[in-house]
Amino acid sequence: MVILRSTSENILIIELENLIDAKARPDVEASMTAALVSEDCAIVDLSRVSFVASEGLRMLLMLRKKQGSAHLLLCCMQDQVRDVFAISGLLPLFDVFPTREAAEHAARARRS
Amino acid sequence: MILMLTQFVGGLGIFFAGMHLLTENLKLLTGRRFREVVASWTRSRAAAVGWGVSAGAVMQSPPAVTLIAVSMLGTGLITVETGLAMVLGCNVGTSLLVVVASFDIKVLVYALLGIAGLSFASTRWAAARTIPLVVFGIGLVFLGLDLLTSAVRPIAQEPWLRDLLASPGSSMPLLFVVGIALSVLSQSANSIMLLAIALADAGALTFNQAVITIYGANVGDSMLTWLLSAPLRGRQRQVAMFQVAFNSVAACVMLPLLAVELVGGVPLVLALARKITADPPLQLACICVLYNIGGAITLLPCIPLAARILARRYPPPTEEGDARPQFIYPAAAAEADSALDLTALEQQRLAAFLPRLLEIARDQPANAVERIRRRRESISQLSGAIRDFLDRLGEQTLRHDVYERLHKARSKADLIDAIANTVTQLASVSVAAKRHEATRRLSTSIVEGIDTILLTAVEAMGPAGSGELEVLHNISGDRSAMMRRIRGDYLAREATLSGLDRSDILSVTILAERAAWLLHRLSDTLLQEAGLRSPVGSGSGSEQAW
Repeated sequence: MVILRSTSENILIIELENLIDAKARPDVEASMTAALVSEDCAIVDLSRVSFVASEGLRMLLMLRKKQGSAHLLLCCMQDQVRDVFAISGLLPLFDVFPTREAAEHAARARRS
Repeated sequence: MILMLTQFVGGLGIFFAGMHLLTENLKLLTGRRFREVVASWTRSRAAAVGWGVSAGAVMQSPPAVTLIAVSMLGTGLITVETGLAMVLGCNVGTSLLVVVASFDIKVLVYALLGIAGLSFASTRWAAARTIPLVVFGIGLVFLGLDLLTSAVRPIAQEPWLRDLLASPGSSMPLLFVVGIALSVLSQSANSIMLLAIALADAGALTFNQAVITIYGANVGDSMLTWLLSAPLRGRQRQVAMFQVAFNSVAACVMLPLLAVELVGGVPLVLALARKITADPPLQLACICVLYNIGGAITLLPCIPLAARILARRYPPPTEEGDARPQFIYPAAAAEADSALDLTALEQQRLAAFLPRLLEIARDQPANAVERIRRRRESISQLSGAIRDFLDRLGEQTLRHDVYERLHKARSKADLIDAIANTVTQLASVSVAAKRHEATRRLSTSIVEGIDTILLTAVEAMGPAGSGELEVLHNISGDRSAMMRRIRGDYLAREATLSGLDRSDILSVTILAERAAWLLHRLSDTLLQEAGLRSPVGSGSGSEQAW
């Protein structure tokens, strides 16, 4: 499931929930693609994602590719999610922040 | 008596050792070129039967001939109908052994054993030892059969055996059942048929009793195939069940003919054998061959129908379809450039099957181990077909640049095979590593992580994969430091881990390390293939961020 929010500075926050696997991917990908169309920067909050499967990682990789010069910031990864990102080698490809605040701060800095 | 019994057992042992030597070494001689020649010779059904007769006579092993037919089916070299015709002929071919063994061929057997055996004394022949081993195997088969039958003759003179076989209990139906049982137990119908001939020659069995025992041994051969083919699936099972049907149908035809001949006095099979030769043991040997010819004549016109019924009854599993090449075919090798383009597509298709191994590890079905084994088998078959195709291409005179492409395609084939091996092991270990919550969590993370790189590699190998190539290069690579750290963390954190759990953690992390490294090497090969230069210093994994 995807929950979209905007901060007072109009930064798009995408909160993902539960698992991101092959079954969940089409819906999550469609929602995120639609939300990211007009955004130059978005934060993906993974605090409520307990596990991410390879399909979920490939989805984020695809979105990163589609976004082009725009930025996709990831934050609040749980331990096992972080493990999967690290083992897959995807961690260095994304800007990853430990907290939502840190991610928002980075997004604001980019805008300015 | 003890000497006779040990000679009997020794003869049986030498016979089986010879069969093993013969079959295993003949398999080494049946490479790609052999299979392609066979495919070109067996375009008609009659030619396929003819080849089956020759192969059965030389190999003396229906399962070995069946294996060749199945591997040719798998690579699309022949149709199911051609495969069935080969198996049909093979039954007639194997029965010829009984005829040959009925003659006194000791001189020839000793000469074969001597010449083939002497070649082992010289190291100069070491490289070409397969053919002497085949010849030595043939010699052992006949030596074993000779020992077996020579041991039976004195046993047949024993009063207790004569009384037993002459008793009212030794009726024709009982001997038919005994023939079946002994054939299943000894796993060799030919040895039982020769035994029956030897007993008849020694006067312990009547001619007619020997005939019914021979028929029983043939049916026993079918029952054995039926028992042994239970784990087979798809086309392998279709061919095996055709083999089962062969002897059963032959029995349905030959038993009534025997009854008509014995009861009604109509001259049929026995009369024909008597016409061929006046020697009773040779007459019985001829009956062995006639039994199989009877079955072949009956089933030959039914092959298309049998193929349809078997395909419906034993449909090929998904893996079997996956094992067949979709892009490459023998004639495509004539045009080298497009042949290499087709190879690249087939290799991408092959690589796309690797994530399915990890899918099994992820889904954990009840028969996970068996499904991994079947999937790996289909991957090996497709990989073998690609290698055969590249070998065929390499036999031609090619332009320098095409040789280079061929070399890269071969390197890619080697890497895909190595990745397939590692991923298979990773999937297997991951299925087993579920005893402890920590090993389950770690193996799940590793499966998903490696699967991500694998899926990226599959995309990168595709025609529009250039964009993914650099990503693959960056996300794959050396994971040794990361895996050491993960391993250390898990082992230090989890005090309740058993020795087996610790071994699982070690295995999955080492396999993940190897998989990531091999995938990085694949990305290097793909970059070279695409004419791009590997980004220097990249691809060292994500340890910095970790």
